[in-house]
Amino acid sequence: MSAITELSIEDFVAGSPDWLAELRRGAWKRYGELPYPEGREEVWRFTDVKALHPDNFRLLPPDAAPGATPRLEALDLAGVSSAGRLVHVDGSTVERQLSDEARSKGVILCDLETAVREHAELLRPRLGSLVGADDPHTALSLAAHHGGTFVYVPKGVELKEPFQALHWLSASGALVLPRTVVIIEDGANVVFNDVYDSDAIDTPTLAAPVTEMFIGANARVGWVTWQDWGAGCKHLAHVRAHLDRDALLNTLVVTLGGDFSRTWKECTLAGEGAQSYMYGLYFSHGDQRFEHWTLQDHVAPNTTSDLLYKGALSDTSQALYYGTIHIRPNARKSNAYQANRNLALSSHARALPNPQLEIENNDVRCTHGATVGKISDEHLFYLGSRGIPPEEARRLIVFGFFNQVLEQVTWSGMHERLADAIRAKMEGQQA
Amino acid sequence: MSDPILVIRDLHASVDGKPILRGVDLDIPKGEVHAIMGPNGSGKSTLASVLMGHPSYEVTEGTIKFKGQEVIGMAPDERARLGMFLAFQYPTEIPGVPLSAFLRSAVNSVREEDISPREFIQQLRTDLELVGLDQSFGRRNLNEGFSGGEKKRAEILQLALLKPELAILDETDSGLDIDGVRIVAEAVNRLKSPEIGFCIITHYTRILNFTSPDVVHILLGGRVVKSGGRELADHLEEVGYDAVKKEFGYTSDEAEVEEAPQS
Ligand SMILES: Nc1ncnc2c1ncn2[C@@H]1O[C@H](COP(=O)(O)OP(=O)(O)O)[C@@H](O)[C@H]1O
Ligand SMILES: [Mg+2]
Repeated sequence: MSAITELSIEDFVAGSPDWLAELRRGAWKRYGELPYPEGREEVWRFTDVKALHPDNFRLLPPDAAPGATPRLEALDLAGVSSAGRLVHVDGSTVERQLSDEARSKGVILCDLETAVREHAELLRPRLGSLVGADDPHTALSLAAHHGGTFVYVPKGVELKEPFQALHWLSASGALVLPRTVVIIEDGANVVFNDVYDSDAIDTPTLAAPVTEMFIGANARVGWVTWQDWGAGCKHLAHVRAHLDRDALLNTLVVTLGGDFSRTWKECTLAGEGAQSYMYGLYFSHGDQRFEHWTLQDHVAPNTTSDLLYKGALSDTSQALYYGTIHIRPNARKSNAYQANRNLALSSHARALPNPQLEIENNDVRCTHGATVGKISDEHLFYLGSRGIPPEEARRLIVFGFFNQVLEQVTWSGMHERLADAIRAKMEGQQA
Repeated sequence: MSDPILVIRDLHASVDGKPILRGVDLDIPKGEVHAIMGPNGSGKSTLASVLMGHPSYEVTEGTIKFKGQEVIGMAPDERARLGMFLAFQYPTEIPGVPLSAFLRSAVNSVREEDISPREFIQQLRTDLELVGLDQSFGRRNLNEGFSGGEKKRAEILQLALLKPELAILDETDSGLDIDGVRIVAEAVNRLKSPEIGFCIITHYTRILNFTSPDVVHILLGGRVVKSGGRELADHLEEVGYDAVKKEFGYTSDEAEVEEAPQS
C-alpha cells in the first residue's frame, strides 16, 4: 500500500489558493524525484530508515473527521491560563482560543488553514523557506501538509503567559504532517509550548511535524517542544529557527514517548549579536530509540549558541545525539558551546553521542563535549549511609543529573509535569 | 559502663582479594567516646567503610553486632536506619542534589514519621549554625564545590540532624584549621549523650584536646594492637607512629599495606 497513491496530490491542492497549489505541486514533483534513502547516508546510517517510509502509513485526507477529542486535562501543560491555545487532533484543529490581551495587542494564533485564507501576505513568503523539500519527508510535508499552528506576534508585544499548541493522535497507522509557522517581530517577548501526546496506538503511526520560526531583532522567545507520544508512534520532527540581530531564543526539547523519535533542531544565527540557548531533556525506556540532531549555524559575527542536552536511558533503549556547530566565514567573535550528557541506568542501554565541528573562522570560542556515565556506587553508598533506600537514592541522583536543565524551566506547571514524567519513568511505567 | 552498642569480633575484610582488616576486636558502649588512632594505611577508613557496609569490601571472617544484631549482610541504608552513622573522610559530591532536599530525604528515611516542613527548616537552621555553615548552604548542591573544611562541617551537620546511636567520624579533623577542629569538637561535645556512642578515627591528637576520649585504640596492620586511656594518645603524640610500629614488631611495610592516600 502506498501512502499517497490512494490519495492524490489534488486532494490537497483542492481549496488551496494558486500560490499554495503551486508550492504543493512543486514539492510533490520533488517527492517523486528524490530517491528514498538506502540507509548508507550519513543522516540515516544509524537508523532504520525503511521503517519511516511514508508508504508504511496512511495519509489522512484533508477533510477527514478528527478522532476522539483528547483528555484535555492530561494535555494542559500549565494548568493555568494561557495567552492562547490550539488543539490539533490527527492534524485537524478542534479548538482555538486567544486571550483578550493577546488579541488586543494584534497577536494572531490560528491553524495553518485559516492563515492560508486570512494571512497569506504573512505566510506566503515564509512557508517552506526554512524547511524546504530537501528530502522525501520534508518534500512530502510541503506537498501534503495539513494542520499545524500559525503564530504572529507584532513588534514589541510582550506576553507573560505561554501559548500552547497541543497535538493529539488517535488515527492508528496514520501519517500526520502538520506545519507550524511562527513569526515574532522585533522586540517581542513570548513563550510557546508545543505538545505532542497520545495514548498507545496499535499500528505504527508516524508524525512528521515541521516548524519554521522567524525571530526578529531584539525579540526574546522561549520555546518548548514536549513529545510524549504513546507506544506505537514514531516522531520525525524538524524545527528550524532564523534569528535576526540581538534576538534571543531559548528552546527546550523534551523527549519521552513513542517508539522512535528524531527531532532536528536547527538555529541560524543570521543577525549580529543573536543568541540561541538550546536545551534538551530525554528519558528513554523499554526499547525506545531517541535521536536528537542539532545545528548551531553561526552566520553573523558576535553570535552565541549554548547547547546542553541531557538524557537518561533505561532498559534496552538507545539515544543518539548528533550535533553540529557550524561557524561560517563571517561569524568572527562568536561563541558556541555544545554538551551532550547521558546517564545509562541499565548496562543494556546505549547512548551514542556524535559531536561535529565545522569552523570557517578562527576568531571564535568553541567547546564541545559528550559523556556517557552511570550511577556511581560511591554515590549510592553515600546516600545509603544516610538511610536513603536505593530506589530513592537513584531518584535523587537522576533528578540531580537533570537539575541543570530543569532549572531552565521557569514556566509554571511545566516543572512539576517534568518531575512527574521523570518519576514515572523511574518507576518503570509508561510515562 | 553500659552494655556495648557495637561489638566487633575477629573482623577480617579484604578488597579485591587483598586482606586489609586482619582480626579487629572492638567494643563501644553507649555514652562513651572512643578514639581510633593509627598511621596512614593502617586500615582505619577500611574499618569505617566495612562497618557501614561499603559494597567494595568483602568481610571474610568475624562479626559486627550493633544493638545485638548482626549487621554483616545488611545494606548501608538498613544499618543507617538501625542507628549507625559514618562521617566520611572524603565526602562524596553529588551534582545537582540540593543539600536541603537530600537532608530531608535522609531524615525522613531514618525516622518513623516524616518530619514536618516547618520543623525541618527550624532544625536545619539550628544545625547549620551549630557547625558554623552559612544558611545559604541549604540551597547548595550536596558537597559540590564545598571546600575541604565545609565538607567536614556538612558531615557533622548530617550527624546532628540524623541523631544516630553510633557515630563514626573518619578523620573529620584532617584538613581543618584549628578553628574548624574546635567547631567540630564542640559540636561533638554538644551531641554527646548517654544515648550515643562515638568512634573518632584520627591521625592526630589535636581533636582529642577538645573532646576527651574515654578509650583510645591503636590500629596497626589491620588489628587493634593496644587500647588504653587518654594517656595512650599522649604517648603516641610523644613518640610518633614509627616508634609504636617498632614496639609492636611491624616494619613500615607491614603496617601499611600499600601507600595510603594523602589525608
Ligand atoms: N578500595 C580500595 N582498593 C584498594 N586498596 C584499598 C582500598 N581501600 C583501602 N585500600 C588499601 O587498604 C589499606 C588501608 O587503607 P585505609 O583503610 O584507607 O587506611 P587509613 O584510613 O588508616 O589511612 C591501604 O593500603 C589502602 O591502599
Ligand atoms: Mg583514612
